[in-house]
Amino acid sequence: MRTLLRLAGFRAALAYTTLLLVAMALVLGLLYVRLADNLQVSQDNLIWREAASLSLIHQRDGMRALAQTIEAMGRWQGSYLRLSDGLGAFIAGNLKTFPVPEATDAEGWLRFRDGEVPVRARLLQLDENLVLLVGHDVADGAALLARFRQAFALALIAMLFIGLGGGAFLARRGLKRVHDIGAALQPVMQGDLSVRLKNAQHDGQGGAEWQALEAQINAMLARLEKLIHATRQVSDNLAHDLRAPLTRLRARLEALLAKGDGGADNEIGAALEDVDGLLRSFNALLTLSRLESGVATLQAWPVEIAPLMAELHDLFAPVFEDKKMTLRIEGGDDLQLKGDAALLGQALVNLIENALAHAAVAGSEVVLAAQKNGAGVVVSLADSGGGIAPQDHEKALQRFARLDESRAGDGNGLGLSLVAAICAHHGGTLVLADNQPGLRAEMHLPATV
Amino acid sequence: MGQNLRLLLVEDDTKAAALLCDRFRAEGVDATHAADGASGLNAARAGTFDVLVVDRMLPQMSGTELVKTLRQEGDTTPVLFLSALGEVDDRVAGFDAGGDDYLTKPYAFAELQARVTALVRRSEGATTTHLQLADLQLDLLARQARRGDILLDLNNREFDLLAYLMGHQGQIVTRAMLLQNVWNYGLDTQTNVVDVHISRLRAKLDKDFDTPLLHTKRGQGFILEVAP
Repeated sequence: MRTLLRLAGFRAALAYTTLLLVAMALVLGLLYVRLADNLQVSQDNLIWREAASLSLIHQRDGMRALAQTIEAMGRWQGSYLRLSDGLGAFIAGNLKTFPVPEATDAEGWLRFRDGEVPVRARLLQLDENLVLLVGHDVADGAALLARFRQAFALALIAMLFIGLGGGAFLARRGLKRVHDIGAALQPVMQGDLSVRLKNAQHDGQGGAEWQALEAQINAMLARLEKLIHATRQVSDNLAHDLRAPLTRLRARLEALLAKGDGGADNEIGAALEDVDGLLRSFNALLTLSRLESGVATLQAWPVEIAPLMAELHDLFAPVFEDKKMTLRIEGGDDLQLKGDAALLGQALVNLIENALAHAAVAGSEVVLAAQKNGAGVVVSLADSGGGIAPQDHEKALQRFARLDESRAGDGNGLGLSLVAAICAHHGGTLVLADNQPGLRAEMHLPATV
Repeated sequence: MGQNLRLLLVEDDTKAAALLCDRFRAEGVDATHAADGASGLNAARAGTFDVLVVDRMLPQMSGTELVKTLRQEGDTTPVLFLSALGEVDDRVAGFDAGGDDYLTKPYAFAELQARVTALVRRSEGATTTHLQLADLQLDLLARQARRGDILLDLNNREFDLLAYLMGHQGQIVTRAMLLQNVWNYGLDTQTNVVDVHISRLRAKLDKDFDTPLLHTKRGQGFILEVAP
């Protein structure tokens, strides 16, 4: 029910049903009032005519004839009569005692009950010393009204259920279509943009608006595919055009070293380091662009977390030791996820190097940890350095961001952006948190993409 | 490198190719150059080469088409692709075409040389269990390293590192080659992580001995040799 209530289609049906119920209740209510009114008027007319006839008999034939008629009529089923004198003493009829009225009005109409039977009656002053009560059993009328009330209530309840059921059905049918579209678009999330929705051409079910929506989605996909193809072309050309001269430059410098007399080796070596640094930034930027533009398709294979962490520990532990720090790994046993091991490894390297560059506090411990998180995995790196102020977390993930102005030169400012892009590429997120003190970078990754 | 090694370089960047051929010739390799895919294919068909180094992007006929054609004709000469495109998809396409190795531009000459040597060695099926340089001896089966009579106390990773350097003795080994071959990661590192491992190895290998064997070449990498 709660999930149903979240569906727009069902909510619309619910609102519509409520409106319809109110309208129907109004109509039925009015009908009921008119019916009850009519019933009463015809009952009252009957009673009034009887009373008028008796009054006529009294005027024309006198008191004795009236009393006899009343006695005779008193034997009729459903008839209630009482003739009394001015003080209320019984003279004739089938009501020895005056009934206790449930309701009276100024005209002389009243209601009372004979046991269970409801009676409608009229008091008539025939002359100063003679009061006539003429009543009728109105049980049939009341029963009729009760049956109407029941029928109306049933109609409203039926209406409510039909409305809710119909709403739920329509909402679910709409939802099924949404699910179908979602399922059909699943490959797009993995980078396959050649997918198209099939119902756009021939309308199977659901109507023109769905067809229009699917056609729109298809047009969007086609445009995206074209754009991404163009982006890929551009980045390929860029890679080629920049790498070719860098390759020549590198080869020339190496040739110089090979045949040189050794006098300028140090400078040439430094130039080679610069070329490599340039190339690293360029490669990182290129990888970042490919990941962020969605050009790159994810090469997903099962990746065991524990061996990956152990390898990185093996690689980096001596670097930490040299800085009088320790790198500790925690958890990760039997954890597995589907992803690109090379990219995930690169992301962890970037996090580790980030900690080495910004949290090099002698004697401190940096913890590389992995644990299960619902259906996914969280791989985190926690240091106890200066950390990043919460308001700067977002800035830290931007390209070329340098929060620490004094530390210009080292690193290319792409490290954390690349980690964030790699997480996103795997359908996850990079979360920066306060380690109190220090920074805790958490890679939230789904187990399967 | 082998004295009679015949190498065909198919590369449309003639300046880079000239530089490369000079370097190979200086190392005693008989290097031939072809500037486009079609002439590269003709040269490969005509000559008997031990190894082909082919650029992926070539005028007239792409490097992958060239290699595919050769493979269909039954030519099994080992092929190393050079490419400015280094993404996984591109590498996979290279291997699918019949390439045996893939190197992304720009590369260190040392790495190209090492890979070419490895390809030729692989096709010759040569394996060794003992390596030697001056008084340093490595037993790859027992995983033991000695200088003279003294057994060096190396951990697993240090032994792997030394074994790789020994396998390429007299050649420059880049940091990327070490990361790729000793740690099995094509990782890009900003820090001096490899240098830290090298300096630890050096402390055990050279500290107590008169002849240093492990040298750092700035901007290039490391070399294991008896310094001239």
